[in-house]
This record gives sequence, C-alpha cells and structure tokens, in this order.
Amino acid sequence: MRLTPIKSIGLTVTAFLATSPALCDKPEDLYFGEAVYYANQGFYFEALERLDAEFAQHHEVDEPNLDSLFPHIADAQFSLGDFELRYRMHHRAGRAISAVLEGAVDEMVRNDAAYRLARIQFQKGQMTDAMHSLERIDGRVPAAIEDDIEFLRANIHLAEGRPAAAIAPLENLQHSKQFAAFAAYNLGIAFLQNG
Amino acid sequence: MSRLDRALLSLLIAGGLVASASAEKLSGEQMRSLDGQVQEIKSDVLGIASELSNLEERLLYPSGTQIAIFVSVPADETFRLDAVQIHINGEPATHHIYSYKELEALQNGGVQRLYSGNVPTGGHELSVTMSGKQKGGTEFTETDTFTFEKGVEPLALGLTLAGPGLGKTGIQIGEW
Repeated sequence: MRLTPIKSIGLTVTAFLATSPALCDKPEDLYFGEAVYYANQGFYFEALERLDAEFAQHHEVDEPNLDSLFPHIADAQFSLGDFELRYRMHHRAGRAISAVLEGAVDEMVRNDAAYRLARIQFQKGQMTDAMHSLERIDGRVPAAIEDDIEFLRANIHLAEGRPAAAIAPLENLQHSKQFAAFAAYNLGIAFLQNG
Repeated sequence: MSRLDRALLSLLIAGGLVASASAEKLSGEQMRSLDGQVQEIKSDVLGIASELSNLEERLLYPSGTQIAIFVSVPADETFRLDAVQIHINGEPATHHIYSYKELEALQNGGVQRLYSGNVPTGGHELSVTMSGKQKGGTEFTETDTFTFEKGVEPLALGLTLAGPGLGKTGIQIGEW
C-alpha cells in the first residue's frame, strides 16, 4: 500500500482530518455546490431539488449562522431564484429574487436580481412593477446584462404604449453584439408608433 | 344592398369583432391560469421528489454508517479529467467517466456527489485513482491512498482533483 507523504501524517485519521484543514480549499457548502453542478449542466430540476433540501435544512438548524450555507445565503437564494426562473417557475422565482433584493448583498448581485425580477414581471405582464424593478438598479451592473437591461427597458416602454421613451434605449443598443438586430427592428417600430 | 342589409352586415361584423376580442381575452386569462397551475404542479413535484430523496437517503444510508464522497476541481485548473475510481478498504466502491459537460460543470464551481454508501464506525482506507490529460496533451493516471475514521455521525469527504504538478499531488482530501 502506498501512502503519500501528506496522507502518512493521517495514520491516526481523525487527527489528520481535524488538524489539516489546509489540505485543500474546501467548497463552503457541498450541497449548494452539488446544486450548482447540476445547474451548470442544465438540469434545473435536480439543482432545485437539492437546493430546496439544503434551504429546508438550513432553516431547521438551531444556529443558522453556524451552518455551512450561511456565508453564501445571499448567493444561494439568488441561485434558487435563478434556477426557478430557468425551470420556468417564475412565480416562485419572483419571491426568491425579491428576498435577495431585500437582503444585504453586493451591489452587483442586487442589480442582477433587480433585472431578473423585472424580466419575470415583464413576462407576467406586470409592466409597472417591471419598470419599478428596473428603477431599483443603481451603481455597478454586471457587464453581461448591461444590454439586456436596456433592451428590457425599451420593451416595457413599447408594451406600455410609450414609443418615444423606447427610442433612446434602443438607439443605445445599435452597436450591441447581442441585440443590434432586434434593437434596429424595434427602433423602426418605435419610430412608426411615435409618428 | 338595402340600408337594412348594410346595417345588419355592420352589426354582424361588429359582433364578430367583439366576440373575437372576448375570445382572445378569455384565452389569455385561461393561459395565465394554466401557467399558474403548471407552476403549482412543478412546485408539488419538486417537493415530492425532495421528500423521496430524503426518505431514500435515510433508508439506504442511515446516519450511523453513512459516507458520502464529493468531488470538486479548482477553478483555475486546465487539465482534462477523464475518469475517477474509488476503492474503500480494497473493494471497488464506484467509478465515473466524465463527459465534457460534467467536467465544465465542475470547473465552474460545481461539486459532484460521486458516492454514497455505508461503512461501519472505525478506521478505513480510501483509494482514489484519477486519469486524465494535461494541458500539453500528456495522459496521466494518479492513485493516492488515504485513511479516514468513521464516527457515529454521517461522514462527508471532499476530494479536490487537480492536474499533477511539480512536487505536489493532484488528489487532495478534506472532511466537511
């Protein structure tokens, strides 16, 4: 049997495991990590099942602040909303993302959450709420969703019958890699509707 | 066409338009209701699946003997993990061949539950073999053996797998 030098230290294994936390950087919460593993592969049902179970367990413990999920509770909550949204459960997703918005989270995470909530509300036809959620975006925004925010803003204006207000955000998207074609078409519609 | 005929025709057209609009409205409401029902069903199914998983875990892996082995890959790793084999006390416990999608999921922060099983309390030996390809294309296979102590509570072991480097082992273990 070969024992590597590192593992040789652990002949009395409890001691080895207990006294060698630096052996590797441990993922903060294995079960959250497991949910991410499934979500990364597009298996949102499995991801939700695991994350739901982890949240249920987290809420049952006597001292949640000692639970391994606690340091990542905002990320996990956000991921829960994200997975629910991707699994087309936007009713539940809205609640989870709202919880992130109310929590003390990083500015970028909060802005990302506000955008996703606005998108859900847009899909549900709640245009005023969607615009209100977009107005909550303040400060740094993840680069990946900058264009999405403008596009959604323009779409809300168009859906609400305010083509004039949609023109400015659509003009901003004329050079967007992702939205240039859609934006050009919608800009034409906006000009037509605006007379 | 007489005036009466024209009036009747106009009424029919107007009636048709109103009926069509109300049918669209009804259809929209029905769709929203259906969407709500689908979401409720999805939520129920998730709850049932979660309960079943918990039940299965409790029945198959009682906490006194439960062991779970998880695998993660550091984010900055560029090696390609092909397969992992686990032996516990010399007996094959599990092996897994990784697809590109699974590897990508691991590299993006995912943690895979590789094995769930039962071992009695006391000392045990865990042997881990991983094979893969380094960035340069060189194939490698690495095996490491660890010992661990199983207590009365469930044991979760985490394996962190990295490409072999100078003077360091690619397989690291920790208890969670």
